[in-house]
Amino acid sequence: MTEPLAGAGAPQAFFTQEWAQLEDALAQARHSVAVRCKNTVVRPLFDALVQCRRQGLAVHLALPDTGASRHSAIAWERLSAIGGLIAWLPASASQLAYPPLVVVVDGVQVWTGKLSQGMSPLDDAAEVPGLVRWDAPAFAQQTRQVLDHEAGWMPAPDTVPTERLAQPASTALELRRDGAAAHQAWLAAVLHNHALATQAEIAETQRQMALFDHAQEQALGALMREYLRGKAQYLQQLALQDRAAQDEAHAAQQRWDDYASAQAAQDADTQPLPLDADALDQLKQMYRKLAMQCHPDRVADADQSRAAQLFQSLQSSYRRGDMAALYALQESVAQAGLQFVAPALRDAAHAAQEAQPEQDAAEEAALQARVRALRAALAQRHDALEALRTTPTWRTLSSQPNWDLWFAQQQQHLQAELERFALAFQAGAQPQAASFAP
Amino acid sequence: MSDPTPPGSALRTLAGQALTVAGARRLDLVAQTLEDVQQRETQAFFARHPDLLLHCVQNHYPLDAELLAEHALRWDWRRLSASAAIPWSLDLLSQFADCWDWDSLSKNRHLPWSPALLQAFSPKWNWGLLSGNPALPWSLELLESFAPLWDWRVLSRNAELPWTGALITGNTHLWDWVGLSWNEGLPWNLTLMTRFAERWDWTGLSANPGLPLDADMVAEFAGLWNWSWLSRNTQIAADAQLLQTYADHWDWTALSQRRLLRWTPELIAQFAARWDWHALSANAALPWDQALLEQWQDRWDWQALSANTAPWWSEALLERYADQWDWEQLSENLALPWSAALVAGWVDHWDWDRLSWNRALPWRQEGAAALLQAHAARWDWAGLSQSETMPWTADWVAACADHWDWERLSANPALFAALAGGAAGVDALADCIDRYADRWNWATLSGQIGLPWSQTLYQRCAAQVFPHLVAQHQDLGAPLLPADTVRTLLAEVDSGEILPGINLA
Repeated sequence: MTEPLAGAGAPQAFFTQEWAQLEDALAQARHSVAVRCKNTVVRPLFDALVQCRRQGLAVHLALPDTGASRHSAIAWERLSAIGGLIAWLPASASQLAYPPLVVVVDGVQVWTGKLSQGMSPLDDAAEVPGLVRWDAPAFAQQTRQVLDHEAGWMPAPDTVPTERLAQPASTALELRRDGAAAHQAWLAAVLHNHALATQAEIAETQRQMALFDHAQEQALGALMREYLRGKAQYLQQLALQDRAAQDEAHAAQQRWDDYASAQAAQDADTQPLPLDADALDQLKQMYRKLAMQCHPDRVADADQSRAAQLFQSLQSSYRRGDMAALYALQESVAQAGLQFVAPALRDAAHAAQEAQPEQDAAEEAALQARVRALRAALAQRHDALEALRTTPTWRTLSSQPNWDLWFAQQQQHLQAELERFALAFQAGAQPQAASFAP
Repeated sequence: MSDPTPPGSALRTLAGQALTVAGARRLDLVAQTLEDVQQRETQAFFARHPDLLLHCVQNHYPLDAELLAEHALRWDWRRLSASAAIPWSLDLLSQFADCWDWDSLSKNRHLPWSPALLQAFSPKWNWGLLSGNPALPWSLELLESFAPLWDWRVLSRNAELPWTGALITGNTHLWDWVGLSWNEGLPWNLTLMTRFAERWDWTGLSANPGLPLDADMVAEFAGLWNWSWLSRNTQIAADAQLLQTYADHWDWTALSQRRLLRWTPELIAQFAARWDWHALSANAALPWDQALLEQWQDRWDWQALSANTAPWWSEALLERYADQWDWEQLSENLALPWSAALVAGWVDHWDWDRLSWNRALPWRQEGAAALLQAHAARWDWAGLSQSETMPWTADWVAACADHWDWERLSANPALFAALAGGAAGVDALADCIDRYADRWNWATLSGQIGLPWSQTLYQRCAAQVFPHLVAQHQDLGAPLLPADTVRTLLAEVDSGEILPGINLA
């Protein structure tokens, strides 16, 4: 099995409160900060860079020379007046398939992705907010080389303490004279890890939803069923007197039926395990590791079916928070001997160094195709994550610090509605159907 | 089982991945049902409280043109003009151009600001307020396009402008140079400062933390600085050399208060004759230890030392210099190793008024309740009532109900957050509010942002609460109502079908 991301390593985290985290990293920077923006820089980030420069750090900022960027409200001279370097790239640079933001801190840490929604007036709507952080010095050096090459900066002095270079320098991508293939290879590594981090975030979002679903069913399941039945019966009664209420009665009956069948399927689904912070961290790490090894996107056609089975097991084990199952899965993945189709970036870079011009072009074309495929996969995952995070369920579970309290409140609401139905039946006098409508 | 998920469900596309189809379906159905119930209850709630409805709608509802027109005489247009919820557009502004309060609009950060919008209502805007609105898309073109209209005095203080040397140089006759001098957003450097040396307000520059102050810059303008303000500037990194060079210029009292100097015993000794020892004694950034205390024992100001919040306090230290401390200062010092035993051990030394306002008292440690009761006559209950660190519970409130300062208790957000966050949640909070209904200051309570207002809580307090104060910071679900429902409710208020409303326009 070939490891395609030797230089990049796995992402360390996927943040949702990303600006606060990045701001903290910048405040702790000691030597240098290099930033590459796809559009323009946002004010808080620019202020943080000015602050870094004031504290004597080497600060490099590269961004496309578009009117919207250069003539925005940012006072660029504030940074250059105190010795920060700003590189205005050709306007076409904003069209490149590039993460909206790349930050290299002290030559040992890389952040790629996009700041939270609304932080920039030129937000790329196609990108879902979220930053991936790598604590991988070798990859940070590669990234710094890519940024330096594009912006025409002098190579940054080697500020990385040798003991922090976990990987030997030989695993780093070497830049060729034009740097194009290495840039594509670097971009593929970034996109690949973004896709993986986004997949992990989707799994975590769904794990929490599964946990919430289970807790909700325990707290509200029986009452919800009673309520839906009561509402259906109430509206059927109304429909006998008022034909206009028939559609509403039918819809209520349909919802009751749907819920009853969805509830019946619950037993087949194993109860998710609640986890403490340490156990969750361990679970996430294991998930990322296994996802890199068995995601169907990454294996040869012949192994697709086996990989799909393994990945499905990974998903359901993660959803249940079942660490033991993940350990067992690790064995299965090792035994499966899956063949990867992704080109080894390290090999590609080395091959590119030695290749003839026509082979260079072929290599670069292959990497470009790989980048396009990765971007498509990433966009798909972004859409999926965005779709999950706009569901009412996610909004509820992420905004309620005390789920039990919230369930208790909903119980009260449902009870009150049931009492209202009972009173209406007893009175025999039916209120207007329209008054029931939300 | 057939797939019962309706088309368009966001969850379905992922159902085969990590969330089961049934689980996704359940979540969808329960969420829809609870949302329906919530909406119906919200409608019923606002039907019972039409006065609150009007306030909540005006402050928080995304009113469209139709609703605005239908109830034009009812609205408080000044309040609407400050709204963040209205879907602002050029058309909407045009349609009700004679109704809006243009001063409020000029300050509003939520309008879709653009050169076209500024141009469209050029005579109506308050350009002084616009000049200070950070939400405008500030650019050199924008400044140029409306140059005669801006208030340049306000612009000079606006740090959000795209400041460049050229912008400053090109408009020298328009700027307010005092305002510029205090502005942190300018691209400060030696060239810019030298070029306009005669125009700057050097007090403003000396105080400006936006300056890249280093030894060269300090030397370049040595005769121009206001040294008192420069000594206070947080950006200046004064080392021993810089201190020595301008020893006769620095304000040594200000320097003695500075936390960001690189304090060492050597630095203290080098300028021992110049420091303000009163200010130095209160400075928590010094490398405090027994040796330093003893080395300058005859210079320290023990009153200021007693107020020092450096993390070096111990019971032994208190004991050792018990006769020299200023116990009034100690009583309000946050850095002491506070415990019930410490308070009890020096009962006759403390200043109990100051002690009562001390945020660091050990109210969450064992023995806190006994401490409270044992000295009930000594405490200043106004100070205790505003405490954020008390372990607030209904029992805790009840135990000292006759002692609390209820005005301050009404303004204490920590109390309400703690009561609502307990096991019984909002019910416990509502019970507590009910129980002391005649003691709270209801105006303070109504404006209390820390109170977790909900429809249930409002319902229980409806008789005493001030709707307009609650609606300032709470929407109570109003934005969730469909426009048709709001229209129906407002029509019912007009027709008198529900409780008579109050016309607040």
